[in-house]
Amino acid sequence: MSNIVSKFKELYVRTVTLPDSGEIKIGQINVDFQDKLLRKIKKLKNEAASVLTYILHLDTYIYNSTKKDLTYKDKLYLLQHWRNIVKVKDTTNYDVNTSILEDTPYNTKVNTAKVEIGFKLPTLTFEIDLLKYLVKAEDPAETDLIFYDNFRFIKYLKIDDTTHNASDLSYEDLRELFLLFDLNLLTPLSEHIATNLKSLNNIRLYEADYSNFLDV
Amino acid sequence: MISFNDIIKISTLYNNKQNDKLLKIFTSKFSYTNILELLHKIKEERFPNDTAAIKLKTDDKELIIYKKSFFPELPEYSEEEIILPNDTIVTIGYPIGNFFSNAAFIKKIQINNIIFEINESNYQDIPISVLNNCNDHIKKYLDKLNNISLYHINEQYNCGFMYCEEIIIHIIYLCFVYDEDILLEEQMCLLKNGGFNYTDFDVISYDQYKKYAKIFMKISKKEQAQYKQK
Repeated sequence: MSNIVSKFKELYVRTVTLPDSGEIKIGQINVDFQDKLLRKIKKLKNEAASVLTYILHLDTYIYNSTKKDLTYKDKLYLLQHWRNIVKVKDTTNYDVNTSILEDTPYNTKVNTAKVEIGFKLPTLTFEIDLLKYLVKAEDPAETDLIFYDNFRFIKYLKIDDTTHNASDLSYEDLRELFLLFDLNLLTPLSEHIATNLKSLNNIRLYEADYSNFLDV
Repeated sequence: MISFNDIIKISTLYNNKQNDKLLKIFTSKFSYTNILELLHKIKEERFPNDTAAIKLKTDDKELIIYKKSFFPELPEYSEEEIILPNDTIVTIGYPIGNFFSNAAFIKKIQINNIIFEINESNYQDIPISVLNNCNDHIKKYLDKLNNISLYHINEQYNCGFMYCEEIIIHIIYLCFVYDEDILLEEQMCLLKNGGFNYTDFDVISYDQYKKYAKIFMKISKKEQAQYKQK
């Protein structure tokens, strides 16, 4: 890299204090991000595939920029930071420390069985792995998006007295499990996640919002 | 100059859909500083005289495009400076034409008296925040480019230009892509019987080649006739 290019990059680097990982130096989202994303999306057939690819591209960009396996709070904080630089007339300052999802299991009944679902906040590399698995499918569908957006938060499922950790399941098994959930189970689960993420949920909406970093 | 060997290479790359390589090789054949100059030079290369023409099949008819109908009007090159809120000075103008992004309309960025010339190798480092601040100005140039006619024969038969890779590839196709097998066959004939070397075709344009081929055929026919008389 020539001196002038590295100097140019340096001028746009800022120091940011992430909630979990502390201080890091980070550049801004640049044209390279847009170019590579557009090239990937051009080849895709449907909206769900495009959204999953966008999130994967964004997560990978964050990973490559920070070289860290960021926590979910760190990732959303960084997203809000980048968005505020781009959307100067529509900045937000959501608190990323309000989530109570991890401490608030969801309880329900499936037929006669008692079901308890516990939650975690996903790490960046976990999300990247899961997204890679999903975009690998020939024709990802809307259901894959719903699966990703909900099941990445699941830590365990307790059915009556038996606990199954999500980390012990393969992505295939996790997805099979998701397909067994009907709407009566899925809708309140989704609402439970959104509500208990508190203000983190507002930034979560940026994750799949193309318009923040792309001219559409 | 686009040589006969270049035409073979271009036709092969086009048929193999190797668009990135095609664009790179094609644009390297011209010396230019912006897309308007590139389009003008393509026109001059493809239409060395007023009788040169591109023939297109459309609605079971043959459409003939002469020089005067091909890029009939190209805007003059222009650029402007804008000052961003953080005192960054950005120069915006028509893009170079070998990469395709709104960022390609950014020619220079001046920050604290340091000037960064933007080109194919560094445009990707431009932060989106800078690009977004320039987008309204870029749109003026983009709209002017997108209003150009690629060719305009009449109200029924015309084609607009758009600033994108696909249109440049289409222009290459219109101007410089021929049947690869026929090109090779004709080249082989001149190599075998006409006393040509392969490297001769590096300095012969397609137009010149056509003249040589015509003369060669004439001489061959004459020689055959003389041989028969004997």
